[in-house]
Amino acid sequence: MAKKISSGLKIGVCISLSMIAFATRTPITLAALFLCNVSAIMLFNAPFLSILKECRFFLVQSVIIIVLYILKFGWHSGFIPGLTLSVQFVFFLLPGIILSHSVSPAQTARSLSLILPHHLAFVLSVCIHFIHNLIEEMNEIYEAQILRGARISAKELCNPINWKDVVNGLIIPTIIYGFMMARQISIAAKAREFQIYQKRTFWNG
Amino acid sequence: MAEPLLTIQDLSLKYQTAEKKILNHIHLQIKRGECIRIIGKTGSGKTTLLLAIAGFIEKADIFGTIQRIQTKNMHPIGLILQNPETQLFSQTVGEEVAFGLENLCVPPDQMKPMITNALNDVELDKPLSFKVKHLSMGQKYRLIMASQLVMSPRLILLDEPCGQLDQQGIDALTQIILNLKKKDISFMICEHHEKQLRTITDQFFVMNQHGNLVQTTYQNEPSGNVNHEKPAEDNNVSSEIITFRNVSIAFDHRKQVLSDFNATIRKGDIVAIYGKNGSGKTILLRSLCGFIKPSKGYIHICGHPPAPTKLRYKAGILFQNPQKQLFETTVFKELSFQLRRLKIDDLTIQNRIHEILDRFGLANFVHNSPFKLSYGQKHLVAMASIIVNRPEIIILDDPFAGIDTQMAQKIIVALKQLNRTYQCTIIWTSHEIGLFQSFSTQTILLEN
Repeated sequence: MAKKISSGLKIGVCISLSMIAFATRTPITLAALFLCNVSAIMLFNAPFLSILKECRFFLVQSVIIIVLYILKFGWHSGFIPGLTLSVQFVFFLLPGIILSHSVSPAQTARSLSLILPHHLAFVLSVCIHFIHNLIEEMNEIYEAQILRGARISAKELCNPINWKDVVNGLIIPTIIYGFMMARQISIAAKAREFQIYQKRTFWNG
Repeated sequence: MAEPLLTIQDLSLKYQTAEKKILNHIHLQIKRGECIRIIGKTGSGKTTLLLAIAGFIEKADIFGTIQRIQTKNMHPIGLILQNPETQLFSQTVGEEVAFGLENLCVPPDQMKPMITNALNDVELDKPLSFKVKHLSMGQKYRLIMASQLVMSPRLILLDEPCGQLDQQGIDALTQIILNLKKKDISFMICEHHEKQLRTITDQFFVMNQHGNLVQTTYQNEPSGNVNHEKPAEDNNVSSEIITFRNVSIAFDHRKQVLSDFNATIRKGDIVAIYGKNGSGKTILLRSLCGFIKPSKGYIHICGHPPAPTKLRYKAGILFQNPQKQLFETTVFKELSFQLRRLKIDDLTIQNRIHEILDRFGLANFVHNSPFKLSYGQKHLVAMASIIVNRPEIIILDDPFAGIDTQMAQKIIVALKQLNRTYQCTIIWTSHEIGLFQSFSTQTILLEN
């Protein structure tokens, strides 16, 4: 079934789901969007467990957003809007992860090149597909920093005092590593004559 | 006489942000079918030389000339970097090899035979629809090589090809290079200490610390053996600190990585765990720290099942490419991060940090940003940030991959001293079976 769905359609569905997340604010529409995302995972035959694992990082982000809202607006006025915003944010990013698991970078680049310049289509497809690598690296950094003394376990993050450790010990090294990775990818692409001509051909194998 | 493929005359290079030149008055000539090998300390400028030849250096002052052979081929020089993961862009083997052809605007109907030939050249017998993620590290490296060969380069530059490969992968690579040399393809290889590559090398150079390239012979190559005395063995009085009993670990609840693994490690042991790429070394270390739970059997560390937050300050772990763990603004702050958490007084912190930095030859960089150091220096800072805390257990995942012998020696000496003085237990892994074997009281071989 998943093979019968064209990559262009998968990309279209994922972009639409991501955009819809901005407009979805009520519990019923959010629940409906959740079901749509789950359906997309099943229809596109994306690995459910891997996606679930990669979504763990959203938990940290959601906790921070909710707590910030509670601190600013109080429990009664802050909790629901904070929860809604964090869920919207998860639903904005989730389709990108589904897409990266269900469509190959070459297919993504090919489909995107119908609406974007060839080089931009390739860069965008690589960005989507290196999300896994970056999340894996982030996981590795997380584990090493916990043993080094960074207070970033799920339980410790309930205390806002420890949030500084997330920024210093996890987010900064991940961003720096992301830049390093981007540079290496860029050199590797140039080493295979990427951007030597204005256009590219596409293998249809 | 055939025209050389590459002639470098009096090449010097200085990065605009650096104080001194990284390459200094380099002369080099490569002929058809020749293989040049360059060794040198980590951070000596080997990769910079390769990038300069490939034309990828930015923000640097370059003096001298690099003369490449004039050819109609749009891809005369191929470059393969150290990390295979950032050089693979596609999901299937066919798509990956086709990437270069797509960039060269080769018509799609002409691509298939070219892709098949390139895969044959590297002896990668996989269908074109085979998923890249299911290839072993050695196969991935060969796929990257095929991705270059499909564009018919005359010279291929390889940066640390053996850094990520196990013995089987290195043997296969050696044979492939030998075959390609017969087809008049030339190679320039920067590598630390792989003896296997000797059989294919025609010219051998050493890059010294001043950025000079000196031609030499194999007799002068620094020995890969580190002068070891065995660590103090005191097992009769030591207590068990880590126990693995019938441990099986399945990755992502599917693929069985380890099966019925048993081991007992005592306090003060130095344990070397060897295994090929994909044999489960990293998974084993992560389960030891409590980040992965065994699907069968049990692990006990310090008398309890492993839990990351409980092991904090007791165990220190260093994963592969440890420099990515760095985050502070100075080397001093990086090393003092955990010591400050332990509420150790300032004087002790200073003494400990200066002692370890002296030992690693990093004393002059104490107030520098760790991010501005060379690759090898970052590796040492990350290692020092673990050692300085004097944890009871040190866990190191492939700590000698990608660093030179002298640097490895410094690390071994520091670890041995920690082991002797504080009876610290050290567990380290390597994909090179038998590497620095004398730096262990116990060895474990993981079979695939």
